[in-house]
Amino acid sequence: MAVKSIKILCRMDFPSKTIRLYDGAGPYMDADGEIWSGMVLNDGLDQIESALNGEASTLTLSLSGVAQQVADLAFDDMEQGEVIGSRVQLLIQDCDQYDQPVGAPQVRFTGTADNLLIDDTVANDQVISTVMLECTNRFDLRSLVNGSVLSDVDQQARSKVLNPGAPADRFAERVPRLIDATVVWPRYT
Amino acid sequence: MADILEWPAGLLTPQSSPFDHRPFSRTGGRSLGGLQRSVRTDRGWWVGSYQNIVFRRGNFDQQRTWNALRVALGGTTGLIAVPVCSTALWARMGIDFSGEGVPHDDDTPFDDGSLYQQNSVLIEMASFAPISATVVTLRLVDHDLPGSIRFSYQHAMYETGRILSQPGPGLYQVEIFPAIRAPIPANALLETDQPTVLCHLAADGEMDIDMGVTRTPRPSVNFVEAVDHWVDLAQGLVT
Repeated sequence: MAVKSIKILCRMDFPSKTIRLYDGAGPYMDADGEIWSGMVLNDGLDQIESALNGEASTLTLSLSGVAQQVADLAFDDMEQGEVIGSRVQLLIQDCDQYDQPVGAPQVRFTGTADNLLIDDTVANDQVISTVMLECTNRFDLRSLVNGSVLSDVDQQARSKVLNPGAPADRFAERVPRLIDATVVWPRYT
Repeated sequence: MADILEWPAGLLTPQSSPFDHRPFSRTGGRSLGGLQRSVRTDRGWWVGSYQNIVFRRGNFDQQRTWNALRVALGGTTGLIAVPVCSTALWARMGIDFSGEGVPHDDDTPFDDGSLYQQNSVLIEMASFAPISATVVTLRLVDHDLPGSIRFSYQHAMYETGRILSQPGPGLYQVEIFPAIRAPIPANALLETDQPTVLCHLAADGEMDIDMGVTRTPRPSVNFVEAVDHWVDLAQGLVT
């Protein structure tokens, strides 16, 4: 039977506490008895869908109607460095015709929080506050747009971000030297 | 304890009070042929309104109550429990908001003929209903059918749908909308005479009123269910 009802879950594992959110209204209790808070995922779902194909390596989740605890965390813990680097997971839970969960939720995206932005927009006569969570995963900065040229400078800058302690990656520098190199078969005499 | 007001439906009575479902649906949009395939991500929440609240000429109680309500609510942050007055969906038809008295005359010399007040319909939750359950079992103490009625428990209102099974005499397993907001213990008596739904005002200006000189106002107020309160309650942020 085709699944007609799903739940989109978002879990953030911060060092002090784990925040569980889902796209819906009211509280939702999963099979383990954990409470997920309802809120609205505004934006970023399309990027998750492309993340399913392994293309998106960064993701900006825009959450509105967020619980006060997320807003508190955004204000307080950003300075303490709690938010950045903590794990963010997006999961999809299949449900039956009564909207009850079936099986375990499937992980669709795992990344680390890179930045947490708070955005206030004025629509008509109301102020709408949204929290935007920028996530990256392991493939961030490792992929290239199709047809682009990998330069030595870019590659060294990348390696500095991805692996700060190590010496700069000189892969792009070595490749041109190898283009015209003749690799001969070793002679075993 | 959260400060929850209750709308005085007996004093500020609307001519109609529609309360409807707003499910969460996600679609990929329409195809060129006009087809649309959608997936539900949640049962949803209540939206509703009080249409054409009747103000009687010269009745200052109503106007003062109105002002007291909007001062206490303070815009969209205030919590108010709204009785749903569409009697067609009540478990028992044809009762007014005041409830009705039950005579209790034991012929004692000090009998003053006063009436008792009690629910006219008794429906209990037969088994524990945890948060986000959508199928519950009701025990009918004094009623015939539990399908398509509304009940509330601690100001969280639910509407029953199909009857799925009958596990025992007087027991009915029904589907409900929305998912259970706050756990309902077994054998808890449900509010079926005057179900209330915990709401916020839909906008800050919902309680605007024009107390004109020549005519009496007929304001309408829009509500949305206060799902944030149930989330906070489930996480123990409020009691």
